[in-house]
Amino acid sequence: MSRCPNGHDSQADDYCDTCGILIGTAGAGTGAGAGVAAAASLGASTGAGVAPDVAAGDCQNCGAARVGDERFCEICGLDFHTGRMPQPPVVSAQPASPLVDPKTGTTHAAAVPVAAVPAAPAALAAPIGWVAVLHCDRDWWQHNTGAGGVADGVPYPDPEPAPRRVELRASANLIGRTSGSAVADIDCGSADTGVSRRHARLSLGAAGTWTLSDLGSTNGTFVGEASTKLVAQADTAFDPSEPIRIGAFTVLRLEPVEPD
Amino acid sequence: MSGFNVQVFSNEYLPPGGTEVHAVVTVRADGSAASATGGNEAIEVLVLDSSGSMQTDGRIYEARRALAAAVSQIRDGVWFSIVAGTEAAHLVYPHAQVKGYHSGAVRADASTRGQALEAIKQVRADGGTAISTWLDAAAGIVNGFPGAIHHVLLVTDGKNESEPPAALHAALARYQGLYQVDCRGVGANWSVPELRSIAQAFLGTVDIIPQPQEMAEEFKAIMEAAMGKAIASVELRVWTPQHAELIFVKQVAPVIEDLTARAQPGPNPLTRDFPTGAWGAEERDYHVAVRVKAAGVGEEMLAARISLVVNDTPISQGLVKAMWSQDEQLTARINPEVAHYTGQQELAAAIADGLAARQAGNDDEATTKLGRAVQLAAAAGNDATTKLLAQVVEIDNAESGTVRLKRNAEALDLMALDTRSTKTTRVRPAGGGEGGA
Repeated sequence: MSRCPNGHDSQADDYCDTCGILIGTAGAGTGAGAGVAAAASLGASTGAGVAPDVAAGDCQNCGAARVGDERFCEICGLDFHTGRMPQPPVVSAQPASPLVDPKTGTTHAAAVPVAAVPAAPAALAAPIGWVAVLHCDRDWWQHNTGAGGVADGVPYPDPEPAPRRVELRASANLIGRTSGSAVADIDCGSADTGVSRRHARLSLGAAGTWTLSDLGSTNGTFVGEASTKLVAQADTAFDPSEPIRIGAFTVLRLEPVEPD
Repeated sequence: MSGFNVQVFSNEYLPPGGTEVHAVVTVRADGSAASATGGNEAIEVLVLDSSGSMQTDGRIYEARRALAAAVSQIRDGVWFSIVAGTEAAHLVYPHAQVKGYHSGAVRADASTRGQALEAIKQVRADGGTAISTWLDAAAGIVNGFPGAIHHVLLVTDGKNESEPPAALHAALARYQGLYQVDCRGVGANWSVPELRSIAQAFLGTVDIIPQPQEMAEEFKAIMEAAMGKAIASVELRVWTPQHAELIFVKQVAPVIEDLTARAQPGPNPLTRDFPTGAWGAEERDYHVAVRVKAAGVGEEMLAARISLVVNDTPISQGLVKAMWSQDEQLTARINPEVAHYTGQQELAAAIADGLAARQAGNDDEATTKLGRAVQLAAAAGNDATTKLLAQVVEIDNAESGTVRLKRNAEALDLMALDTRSTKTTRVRPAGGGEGGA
């Protein structure tokens, strides 16, 4: 198993079996399993002791692969340019733009904790007042079956599991599939293999607006009732009342947490 | 070691922003391929048209002789069956009483071959032509031999006129890919599109046998090739990266065959499998075109990974790469193999269009297209095709493609050109010089 410069896990050691990119220096960082083949393909181009270029390498803090030439690590938030960890936002007494639910028009008190997110690792962060609800959707699965569709070979879960609620605790949330060490903030489980390990990122901006970015997933990210496909690797404004459809049968919706 | 050798020919260099990658993939199977995969049982079904028209020109007599020649080619241990087709299918051999009978077939040995030769003498020509019933019979027989190499030789001299066309279409849909069918038409009264549709659905070949006397020799050759097939089912597995588009996959040698529509889902969403039927010791070329997302100059990516899959196991692979460069010396080059087969595809298309225009009475169009075909065939050194074209047009100047339509070209010659227009020449001189092959 190798990891490609774009962050995909690849069974093949020569070229990434997701995006096809040459697995060069990245191969050196993988375990002994990749050893022989990787060493052979690298040849003399990387002599022993040559440190891999930071720009092409993994995150020095948490070891996660860097996506393209993005500035910040997807997992821990390390700034690749400065080598610094993210700083807590400045807490102001009055949030400039409170969170407004576009459906109800209600303003959420949850806006305050956003500003109060501590610099500690994401797992310990306080809830930000939003919940991602993960459903299995048979219609979406049916839409994806046939003619070489994503869902071919991916069985619909039986029995169908109940919707799962994931409380969001960070302003940037990785959506992905469970696999080994990769832990996504919005973890779609392991059953839907049509979801990429690092599928998309859902971020809440300081102004209370959401952006959604497909991280170059294998099968794409689809938004809204019309299931519009996102352009990969581009931040796109996201209306939190819209459903997000990914993989073979996974549908994700955001819900604001009603204040007590 | 695997017995299969995959070679990729392409120009890996794309200009900045370039997205289309073309590659010719040569697959060679040597004799060891069969032993490496354990070999397979084989079932051979000979289906002979025995409708009334087969009495013309002593065809039935020649057909009996040809069947006898085919039977004597069947290797010991291979299951075989002989079917006579009219408006229904009749089992000529073996009868259910024959020792070792199973599912309408029996293993070949000196004794069963002898019995078959006797049974062949009893075949009479009388009745109509309903090919779907013949395909039903062949399906019934081969279904008794799951996992075996299924080969059917289907010979007719007429059109499928004893049943509505829908019956044949339904049979093709029912059994598509279940067995491999090589189709042969005797004389000039059969329909090229009809037999071609059968051959295409069943991963087989179609050709004309102009004279009944040529049947025996042709049967012998077909059986030799069929007996050489040792691996039941080989698939071409094509992986392309995410966001890439597989434009087409075509077999380009020995015969042009567009496989694109035959894609089956592979083991993951980025992979597709294309069935290629049974293989012996042989060489086939494929033309694969992929549209990738352009990457930056200096970057290298894999545009396609092509592997051969036998019994669900990938055993050999070739890589189609893409590298972006600003060096026009590199990016402007067209790979000779790709250029050659692009030309051969254009040649086949020019012939098909030319013949269609000729039939529609559009002589100007026919002259232009067939003239272009003559020009392409000459440029590629495709003498066989040039010869066939010369039966249909007067060639004034092959180099410039100046031709005149022959007013009274023979139907046989038109059909021969039609059926053989997809046969290609190899781009490389045969591996070991002229003597090879």
